[in-house]
Amino acid sequence: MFVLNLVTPEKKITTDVEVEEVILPGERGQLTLLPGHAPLITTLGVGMVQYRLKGESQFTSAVVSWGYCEVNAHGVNVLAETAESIDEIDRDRAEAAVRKAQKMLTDPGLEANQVLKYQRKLKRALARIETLSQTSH
Amino acid sequence: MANLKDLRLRIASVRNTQQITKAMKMVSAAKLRRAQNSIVNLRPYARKLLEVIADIAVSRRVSHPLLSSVTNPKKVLVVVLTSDRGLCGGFNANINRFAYRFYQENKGKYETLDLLFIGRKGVDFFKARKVTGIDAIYNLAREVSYGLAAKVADRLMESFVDGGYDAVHIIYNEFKSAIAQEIVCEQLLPVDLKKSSFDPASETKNPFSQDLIFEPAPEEMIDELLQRHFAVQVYRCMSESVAAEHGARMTAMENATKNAAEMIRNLTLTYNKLRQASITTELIEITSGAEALKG
Repeated sequence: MFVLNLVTPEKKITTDVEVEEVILPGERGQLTLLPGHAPLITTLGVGMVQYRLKGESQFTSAVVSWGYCEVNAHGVNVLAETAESIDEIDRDRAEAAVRKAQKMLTDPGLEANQVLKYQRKLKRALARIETLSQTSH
Repeated sequence: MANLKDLRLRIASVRNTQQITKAMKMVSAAKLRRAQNSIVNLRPYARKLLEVIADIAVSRRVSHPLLSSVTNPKKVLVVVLTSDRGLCGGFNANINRFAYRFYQENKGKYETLDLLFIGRKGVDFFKARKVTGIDAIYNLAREVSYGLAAKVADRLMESFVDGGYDAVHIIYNEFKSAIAQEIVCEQLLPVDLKKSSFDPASETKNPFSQDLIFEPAPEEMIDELLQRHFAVQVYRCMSESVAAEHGARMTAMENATKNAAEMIRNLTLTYNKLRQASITTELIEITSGAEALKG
């Protein structure tokens, strides 16, 4: 029994689904979790979460930005700041966000916290696009 | 006594008002459902987060300034959470009165007792009483999102750190049901872990908490976790308050609609009486005129 919970403060992406494999964007590199993994608490970066439901060969994807992951004997709890399942991603919006962030970042007079903000936005938008392109073929 | 034309106009205007209150009631009912959903959706996240914090703080004995409560708080900040808009019955009046009394009673207890307002109604109320808060946040978006709450939480945290407060309390309307709200005063900071269902005795028996892998180290993580936890708490309070506001507005508008119906009934009755009276008078005038001609 290896259960995945993927929740944000605003919504639940999946709760209590049985999975066979979970791939997470750890802050210090990607990690794959299989049943029987040692208990772990780690921070997550921005990127793609993939999980394979029990008895299926295909991965389901979602995008998360910043969060925590807790692995215990029962399964994986992912607490993400924001999360979108694959069919919630709006490609046009993500591309527009990339363009806007890139444009803003070329401005030399940008304040430090603004730079950080747009870098985060850029990263999030890129993660969305990447998730879409990886799963479409 | 009013004449017929006045009454007709009066009835029409009451009917218009009734339509507005009815529409507002329906809008509030729809919004209430959404607000309730967001509270329900938040619960698993909030619970898990607190579990992880408790896990780190207790099993790893990690201490953090946001976790250590001061036994004799000297500087206290009270956040008063009201709504931006009115027409919701006693929702804002109740909370303002409660906060005002709380302020009067506890002013002497602490060295400093500062207020911070969220929502325009609280700002206005205290301004009229010449009580100024250290900060006021209002004109918030109509829908409470986590992003918005996180911004508010950042501002609160900034005031907490810059102002050197020992404790932060929040007064808000807790959502009980669609017709009931309860005013509660809660401690936001320092974070109180006692409230969680976490039981250190059973946790230490559990072999898994002993050899948890932390990446990065728990000391580095707890700071961020507590910040998140704080944001989530603010979000929860705001969601509760919004749900309570819609519930209160729904009830208030329901009553208003009922009162308008009652008023229309009374006015129509008066109108009909008056109409009949005038017909009778006219008939008497005609018949007596005819009688007079005969004679």
